[in-house]
Amino acid sequence: MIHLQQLSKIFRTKKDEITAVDNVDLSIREGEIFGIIGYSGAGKSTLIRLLNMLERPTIGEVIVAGKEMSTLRGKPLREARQNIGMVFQHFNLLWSRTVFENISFPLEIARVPKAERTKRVNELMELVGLSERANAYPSELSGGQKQRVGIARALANDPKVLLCDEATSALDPKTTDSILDLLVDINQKFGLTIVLITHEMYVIRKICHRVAVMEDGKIVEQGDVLDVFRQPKKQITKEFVKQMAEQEETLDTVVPLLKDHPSGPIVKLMFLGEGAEEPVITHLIRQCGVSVNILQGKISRTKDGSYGTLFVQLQGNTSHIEQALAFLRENNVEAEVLTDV
Amino acid sequence: MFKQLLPNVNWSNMWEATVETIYMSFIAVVITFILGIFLGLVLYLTDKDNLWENRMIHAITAAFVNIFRSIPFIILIILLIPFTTFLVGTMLGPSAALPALVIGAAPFYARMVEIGLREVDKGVIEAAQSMGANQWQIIFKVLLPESMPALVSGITVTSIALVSYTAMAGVIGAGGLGDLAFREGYQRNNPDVTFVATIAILIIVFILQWIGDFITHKTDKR
Ligand SMILES: Nc1ncnc2c1ncn2[C@@H]1O[C@H](COP(=O)(O)OP(=O)(O)O)[C@@H](O)[C@H]1O
Ligand SMILES: [Mg+2]
Repeated sequence: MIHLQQLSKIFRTKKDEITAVDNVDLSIREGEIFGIIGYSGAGKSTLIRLLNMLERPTIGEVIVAGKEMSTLRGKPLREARQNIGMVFQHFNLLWSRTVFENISFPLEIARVPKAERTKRVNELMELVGLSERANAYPSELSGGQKQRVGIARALANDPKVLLCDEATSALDPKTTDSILDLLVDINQKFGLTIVLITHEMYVIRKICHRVAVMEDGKIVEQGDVLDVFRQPKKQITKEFVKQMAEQEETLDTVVPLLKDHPSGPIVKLMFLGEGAEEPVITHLIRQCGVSVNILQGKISRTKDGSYGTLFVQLQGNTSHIEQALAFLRENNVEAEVLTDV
Repeated sequence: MFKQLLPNVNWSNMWEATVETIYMSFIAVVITFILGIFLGLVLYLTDKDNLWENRMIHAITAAFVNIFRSIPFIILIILLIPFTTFLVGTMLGPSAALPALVIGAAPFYARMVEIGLREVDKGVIEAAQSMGANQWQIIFKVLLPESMPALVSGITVTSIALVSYTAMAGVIGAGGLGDLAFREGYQRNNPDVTFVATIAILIIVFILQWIGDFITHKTDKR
């Protein structure tokens, strides 16, 4: 659906040149949710804006839905843009228009006749659950509701691709979840290709099929979310995975526990989405002849399984403990013995 | 009772002058509104990083606006006498005041329009572009509606300034309340005429302010 080839964007300012996007090659398949993660300044926004020519590439190709975007100008470009919806971090709604009128806006731009517009807007308000607020102005809505309007608006002209630039970064965790659920819903219902940008691994983890990690304008790692998660290769990717799986404060609170539980090694287990944690623990106890003392941890469930960290103490003789650790590794659970912390 | 307190006031003349003032102000406000928005849009759109970025046109428009905004109105009227005579055919009567009124007020308003347009969220313009909006749609569906409260409060201030300009224009024979206050009131030493003319101008200004505030408030949904 989207192909980027040797794509670069260089901003020239009076003093220097900033290579915001540096020789990026990327293919995004039809119907997938593709995440791009990176720290602030990595060039994510510039990359996503290159997809609908809000920025023009310095070099390289941008093909979206079979069209070479960088060769388009004027009317053909405006028409191509109607096939690409965009959702923004700060919503970018027109404050002078009601919910209904905001969603109607892209339809007016596409010169859809009035009766059809009304029908379509009503469907969209239904879809995002805002039918009751049709006549409210953006200033009367919560952040989550504003983003729902933003999403409905982006979907108005039945686009093939939806671009989300930090669509949940201005929202609290609970609202983030509801917006992410809505995106998954849309992706499944309409088979819409979604490209989303974020600096939060949580977002990638929760809804993306594939991910690209961006650093200094380059894509340094990409692949299926699970693979990238399980075997992060680059330092930056490891940091993102860590950000997710490791709860710093949990580690701190575990240290004192070492003194209270002297009779066995303390092990940190990291679950990175491979199945659920209970069967692994149950088998551990049954097959390896160790007893497992759960000290602390935080496990979250996502669409692919559980992830998170669990601190346990293994009690038993040395060979059983060795066996237990081997068993855990076989089951794709990262186990790290912490006794020497 | 009025007869005793205000012996020299000829009410039918007073009414006629009031109508002339309202006529001059109204026509001038309408033309200033259109011309000011046009100039304000040009100033804004040709500025750096905007839709029609163009240094040359921006500099020329800005210079024009700054020059005419800086000339004191009374001098502007005199400078424009040949132009007005050419355009209107006479230097007498309310219509003769219009060119000077508009040329004095439009640049003033254009700057306010430009400031209002600058307040429009760049993100919203970008959102419209991402939907495939063309320039005209961005101007008429985004820029102008989103800056409407600023445009309305700007034209309110401008129209009040225009009312006082009409009073000055009266001095060169344009008629209206300023003319009446000067000729009948001051030159013939009838302070009661000046007094009533002043009250009439104040009433016009208060009504304008009230209408302006009302519309500004109505359009502001932020
Ligand atoms: N219009 C611009 N002019 C100059 N530099 C820019 C412009 N837009 C972005 N940049 C620079 O490009 C780099 C990447 O920015 P951006 O794409 O916004 O990163 P991210 O979205 O990952 O935070 C930054 O160093 C930023 O300062
Ligand atoms: Mg960004």
